[in-house]
Amino acid sequence: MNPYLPHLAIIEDVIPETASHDVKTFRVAFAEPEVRAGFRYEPGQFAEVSVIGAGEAPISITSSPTQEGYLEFAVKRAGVMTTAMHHARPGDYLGIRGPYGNHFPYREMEGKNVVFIAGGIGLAPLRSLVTFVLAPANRERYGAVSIIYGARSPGDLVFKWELERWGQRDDLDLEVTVDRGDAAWQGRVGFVPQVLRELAPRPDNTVTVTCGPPVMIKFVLQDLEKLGFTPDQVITTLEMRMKCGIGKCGRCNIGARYVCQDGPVFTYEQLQKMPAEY
Amino acid sequence: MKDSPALAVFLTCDQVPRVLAASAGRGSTWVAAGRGEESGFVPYRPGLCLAREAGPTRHTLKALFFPRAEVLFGYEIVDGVPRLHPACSPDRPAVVFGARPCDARALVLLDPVFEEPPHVDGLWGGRRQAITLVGMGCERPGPACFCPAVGGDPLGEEGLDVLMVPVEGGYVVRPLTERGRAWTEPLELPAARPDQEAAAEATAARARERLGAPPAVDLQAALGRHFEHPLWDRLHERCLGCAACTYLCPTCHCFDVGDEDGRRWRRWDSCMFPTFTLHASGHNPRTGGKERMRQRLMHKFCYYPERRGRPACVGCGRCVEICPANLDLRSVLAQLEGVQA
Ligand SMILES: Cc1cc2nc3c(=O)[nH]c(=O)nc-3n(C[C@H](O)[C@H](O)[C@H](O)COP(=O)(O)OP(=O)(O)OC[C@H]3O[C@@H](n4cnc5c(N)ncnc54)[C@H](O)[C@@H]3O)c2cc1C
Ligand code: FES
Repeated sequence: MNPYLPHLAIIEDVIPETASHDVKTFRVAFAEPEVRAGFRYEPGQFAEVSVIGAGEAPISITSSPTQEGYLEFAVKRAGVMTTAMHHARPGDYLGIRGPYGNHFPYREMEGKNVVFIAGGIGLAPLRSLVTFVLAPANRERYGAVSIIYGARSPGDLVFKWELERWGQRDDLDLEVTVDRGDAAWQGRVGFVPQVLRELAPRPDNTVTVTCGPPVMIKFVLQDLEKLGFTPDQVITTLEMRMKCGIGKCGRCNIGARYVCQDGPVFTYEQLQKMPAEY
Repeated sequence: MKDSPALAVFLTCDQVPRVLAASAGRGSTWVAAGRGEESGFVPYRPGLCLAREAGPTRHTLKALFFPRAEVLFGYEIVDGVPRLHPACSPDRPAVVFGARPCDARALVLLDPVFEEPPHVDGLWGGRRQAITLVGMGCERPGPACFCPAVGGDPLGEEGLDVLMVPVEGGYVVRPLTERGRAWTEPLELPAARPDQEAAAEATAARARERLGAPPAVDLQAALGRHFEHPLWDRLHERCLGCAACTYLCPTCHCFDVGDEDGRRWRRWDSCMFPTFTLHASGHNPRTGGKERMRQRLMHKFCYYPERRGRPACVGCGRCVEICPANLDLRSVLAQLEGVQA
């Protein structure tokens, strides 16, 4: 068995997300029908995505298992492989292996209110769970759902098409904010933690799921604590440099935990017991 | 794989060339050979000079199972469509002759890393299944050896299919597994006599005495409490970050993956390099030598034991011998053991 061999997948659509086009969403489908039919994943898992010849990188699966027949990845142009991926067009091939890692504890979250707090491209991994929770078959299993999402500027917001759809729902409270507005921006201006303090969600029977840049996470965690959330009510998903994605290359550990296998999803309670080396 | 102990046989020194030739006639045979810095595992050829070093060969047995650079698959792009050609592990039987017990034990420590489900690494697993390990007990441990301190033994059997114990005039050869018997039986060697068995016991006793008793300290527990300890600020000061220790370490398994020349490769990598954990964004969770050395030591003596119940070190002493800055793992461990709760 060669676990490093990817399945081939064809890009069906490429959606530029940000104004500078440094984030694009790729909708892909596996080339082989058996793989397409057999690929099962959970919200929060990631895949190792390759541009054959340019390398491989771990990317969250941003689509939800409730959306069948394709996968979506939202990718920020960062280095060699992600730049090559940004040059790809519909019809081009990618390599995909996975799914890897643990997932959001969506079963344990049933019956509870859910507050999503995301910054920048940090919305990508959370979107899978948002879509999952909002799916008709699942929605009634969860209480009130709210999303606080922010980016540096209006041009840096990702999934605007999705935000619009979410904004129209009456079973969801969406707050979008930017650090700096522009002439056309009529929404909120302010950092994510500020908005969080202002909305002050109550901790009773509620879980929060957060992902974003390290500074945002730092303040969000502090503010959640002040609002009365206990560390086990706070769920986040981590990033570490990865190669194998399957616990072998020794690269992604934080203490005795491998983020690629034991993560990337951790509760704040778990994180507090791990060395602060991430 | 281990079952009822088979009878030991006796191999005289001058029969060794015949035995090696016979083994090579049946399948590829690698031999611990060479001197000093050059010593390692090489394909058998007539006239080969067996390694007679005190302690292990300089180069590790690990490299036969997990090569320094290895192709994961080949690729070509034909009319825009990638075609992938997966590498497969050679499954033809082979034999390694002269592996030291510490090197064999290191493979056993790496097995769960590569073979634990659900992600079974068949490249490693295929070689593990195909290769018979004929080990050579350590009559004279080397100056840097410290296997008892990490649960090893100079005559340890773990991971070996056959153990040869050097005695006056030859070797007491004990098959330990079915695969080991399949190697020794065709050689048609005479059963070892009681006096030869007794001599093997004496060899073991001498080697153990040279190495001394292990310290009675729970290093894992101590390290678990001391992620933040001022000792880390000093321990790494002499370390150059050259990573020579990790390349010669039989239990280090970190690798990099990259595409080059129509192939996706994996190559040995090291947690001692600053780029090892560098994110594309520029963020680096392990910024300096302190963090990197702590990671290497914690992984071997705290994190791995937490997952697998024993340290990821076999006490071969290669890191002690190779370090250009004379950092001696034994004294580093002694300092860490001395840290009070
Ligand atoms: C679990 C997980 C989920 C992720 N999800 C997303 C996502 O949905 N969208 C997105 O844009 N990015 C995501 N990332 C980050 C993404 O993996 C890196 O931006 C990417 O690896 C950069 O690769 P590169 O080849 O372009 O960069 P280079 O700098 O050329 O990196 C070379 C290689 O190093 C490794 N590497 C470098 N930086 C990182 C990093 N930050 N994290 C992990 N491996 C790295 C990769 O193997 C990469 O191919 C995720 C990371 C992790 C760990
Ligand atoms: S990415 Fe290789 S061990 Fe986690």
